[in-house]
Amino acid sequence: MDTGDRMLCHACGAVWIKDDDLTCPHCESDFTEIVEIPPEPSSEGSPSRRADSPSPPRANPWMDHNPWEQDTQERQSAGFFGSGTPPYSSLRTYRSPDGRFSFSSATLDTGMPAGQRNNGPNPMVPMMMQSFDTILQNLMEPNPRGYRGFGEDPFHPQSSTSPDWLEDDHLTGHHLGLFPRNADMAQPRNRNPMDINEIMDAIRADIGVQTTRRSRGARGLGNPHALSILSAILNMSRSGDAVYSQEELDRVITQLIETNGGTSTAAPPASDAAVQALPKKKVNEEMMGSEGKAVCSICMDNVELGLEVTVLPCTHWFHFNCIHAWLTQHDTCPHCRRSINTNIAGGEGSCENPVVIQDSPDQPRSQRRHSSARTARSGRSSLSSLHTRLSPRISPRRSPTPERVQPSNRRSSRGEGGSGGGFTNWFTNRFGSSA
Amino acid sequence: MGSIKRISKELTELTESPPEGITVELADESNVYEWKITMEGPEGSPYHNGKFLVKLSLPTEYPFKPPTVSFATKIYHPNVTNDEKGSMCLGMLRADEWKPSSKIAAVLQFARQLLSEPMPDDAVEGRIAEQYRNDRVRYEEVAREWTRKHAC
Repeated sequence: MDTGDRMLCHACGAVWIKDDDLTCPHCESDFTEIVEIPPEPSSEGSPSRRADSPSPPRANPWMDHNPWEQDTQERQSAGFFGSGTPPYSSLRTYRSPDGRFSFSSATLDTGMPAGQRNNGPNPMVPMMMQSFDTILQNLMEPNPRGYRGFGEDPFHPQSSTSPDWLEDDHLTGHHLGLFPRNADMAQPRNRNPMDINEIMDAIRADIGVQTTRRSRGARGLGNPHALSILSAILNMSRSGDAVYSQEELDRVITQLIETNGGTSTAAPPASDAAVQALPKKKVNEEMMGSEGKAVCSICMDNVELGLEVTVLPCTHWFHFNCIHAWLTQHDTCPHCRRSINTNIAGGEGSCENPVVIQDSPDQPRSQRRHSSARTARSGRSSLSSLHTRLSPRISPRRSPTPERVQPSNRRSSRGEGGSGGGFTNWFTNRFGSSA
Repeated sequence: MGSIKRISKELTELTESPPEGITVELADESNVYEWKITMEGPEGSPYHNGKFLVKLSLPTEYPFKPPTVSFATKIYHPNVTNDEKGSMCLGMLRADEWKPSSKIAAVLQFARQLLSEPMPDDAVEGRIAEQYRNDRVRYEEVAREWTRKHAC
């Protein structure tokens, strides 16, 4: 198995497996970093856990629990997934982009006509609520061993808080949190979801809060609010802008400060093209200075006569690789902080930083004044023609862009999902929509 | 590794010709990113005669990202947080102020200069800053007392 540390090149972004040579094989840059790969949590803990829990029947505990008994029992076992006739289940899996944790959800459709569905209470809903409730209760219990995880077997003799329905004969031997395989399509078996602690740690590590696994039992988050756990579990996105406790809020603010605070006023990165376009020059005696010795002030290495260096508009010069690595973060000279755009593209109003002020009466640039004056004159003659003339100009600014529409759509669909089908639907929406 | 090369170079320079009142060593010989600095309180300041242990951490992206400076020794100063972290707020170390041509030597000299001349307008401890502005005598008294108690 490959457990070697990786190397990351800050100049070109390449990643490769660490070997003796620490320079980047792609761009030969020296600015590389050893990225230590921590041991996989699942590989250290789970084999033993898997060994002593009865493993083979990895199926959804709800799969066999059939509230409609006899009449569908046979069809269910025969072609449960294949037929497409109700009741059928759907399986959704969410996996975080880096694959560190995954969630799955299974829903069982009753197959009742839509009209009937709302007449009586869906037997699945209270059952799911109850199981979810149990999970939350377990999480909140001040448990000296730490929280009980999804990965542990809820039917293990030591678990005393299993609700009644879990002790149902249909269900014994099955695992909560494990899901049926799709018989139609071969697919890799879902990895056993990690211990809730690992999930929480992973989430917290993702949002930049440091927790150590050894402080698990006595961490400051002794009795977290149920909603905060729920939000942490469900709010898989890093932003996590809904919080339910002061601690969470502090954490989010800390994260925002760390990620945005310091750099918000820093100079923006330069485009790669702009960096490539910078003039190069061989080091001459004049540049070596009076002492005949000069260094690149980024890597502090001496430069030799005749070496090719990159010269910024402010006349400061550096190794190309050095200045490239800096300029792709901030477009200013590392020495005098002058923007590299001043001479190349004409500063403000350049293609990088256009000045677009449509409605301003005070247009500094004569050309723009002409164009706005023209449209104003035509507007006097006909309002509609003004609109037609302006609209192609304005539309990209006024009309909502797809990026703007999407988040609100997504939000509303999530919000309404709750009213449509109750908990089940909401659950599917939250977990299923990202699958 | 350019960053390590540059860091080693700066370390060598600083150990061979250390700036006044500053001695530099690695906290752990195998890790060039964590430095242990002993800073003598500058003469004329209430920190005089104190020896302050300062930790300097270099990010792996150094010199493209700034180092961080913190006081391991407790110090009564408007620009050093009065907690277990002892973080020092240096303008030049802020992400938007940092430039890769700044050297660690300059950072350390600037930090020591800050002991002589605190910058109450850029304070992290507002209460101490206020006292520094309004009751200099009392501030110096407390700072001297803390120096005697923690840094000698």
